[in-house]
Amino acid sequence: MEAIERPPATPPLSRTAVHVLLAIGPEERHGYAIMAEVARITGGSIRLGPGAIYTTIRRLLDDGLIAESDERPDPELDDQRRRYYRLTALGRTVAAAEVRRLETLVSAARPWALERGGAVE
Amino acid sequence: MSAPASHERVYRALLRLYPEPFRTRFGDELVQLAGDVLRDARTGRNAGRGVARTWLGLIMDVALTAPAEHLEHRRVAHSLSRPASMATRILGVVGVIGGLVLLAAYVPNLPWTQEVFVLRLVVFNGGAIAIAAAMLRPSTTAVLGRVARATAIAMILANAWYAVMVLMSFGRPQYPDPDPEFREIFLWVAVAMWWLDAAFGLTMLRLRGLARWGGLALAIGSVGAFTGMGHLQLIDGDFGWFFYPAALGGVALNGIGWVALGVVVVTRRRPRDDARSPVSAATAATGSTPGDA
Repeated sequence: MEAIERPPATPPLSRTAVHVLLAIGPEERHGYAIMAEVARITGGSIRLGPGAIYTTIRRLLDDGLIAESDERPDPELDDQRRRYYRLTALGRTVAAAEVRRLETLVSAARPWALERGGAVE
Repeated sequence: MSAPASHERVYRALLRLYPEPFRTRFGDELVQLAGDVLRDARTGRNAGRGVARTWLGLIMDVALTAPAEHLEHRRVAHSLSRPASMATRILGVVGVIGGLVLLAAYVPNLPWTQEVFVLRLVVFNGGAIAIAAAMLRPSTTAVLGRVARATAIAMILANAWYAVMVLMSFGRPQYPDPDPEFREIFLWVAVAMWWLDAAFGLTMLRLRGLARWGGLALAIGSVGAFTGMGHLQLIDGDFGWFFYPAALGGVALNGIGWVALGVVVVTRRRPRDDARSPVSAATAATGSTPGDA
């Protein structure tokens, strides 16, 4: 039987937290960019409001999964008041574990879920 | 400075539904993001309906997330606001005594017999162990993090080992014993103790107020005290003019650091309503507030 790689022990993440984590990805993003990226990677099906974005950012900061970037944007290119966030090493590990978990789920469900176009009639 | 736009005033009023620490921490960003979203709605097709729908979304967003944030805030505040238990206070007092005993080296005319010398070092080690043990209590380690926890445990072991070595040296012809093997082990124990004390002090820099200053004094003092180790022969060498006062000052700073951290542990009190960051939360956990500094 194939060994299953165990994800690291991390705090349980809400679906919104996973979306924010994956939206930040390898970049440094501010709130508006995170909101836009969540909408993009979910095909527009999920649009988070400012409150959802920042309560999630607060939790991810407290859990050490993201950190505020020290660098500020060029004042000519962006608003200096914006704060940028990036994944920490732990955040990357958790994101990778989440992606692996989703891949496992998808590969298990794909053979039947998408059969004849899936449940969408 | 221009007056805030009407949408900003309204949205700021909505933000009052969030806990104050969250507002303080993210209020400006929330207002800016809401402004961005409203700007997008105004520039889209059918702007009037879009703006109305966006406002409805913003209100729903606050209504759904503010209660959860209040619950979380109460949970964190409760877990951090427990006053120090009697056991923790005793650990803090032992830490203060350990630091004061180290500082006693500067009191003139004390009878520095070998017994007193050994007793002083053991009490100093006991104080250091007590402070680290107090910092390992659950409400503190939850916010100090794994590195601080690991450092505290390693520091406890090093201090305990040093105390054992000091006790073993008791009654021998001279301190430290001239036996080369004993002397070699003693050297490495002392190196481990001083550098782990310094590392423990550095982990305290995450905190605020007196805890941070105590940690800084401990970190610098431990390195200074390390340079005074007889085995290294730094204070007797060509640069003794530098290392001798550095070592003396280091021991003093180390003692001051332990006293400060002991006071922080003993006087831990209910934190202010300010859990806006892990740093301030950690500060609250150890009872130190900015006003302590």
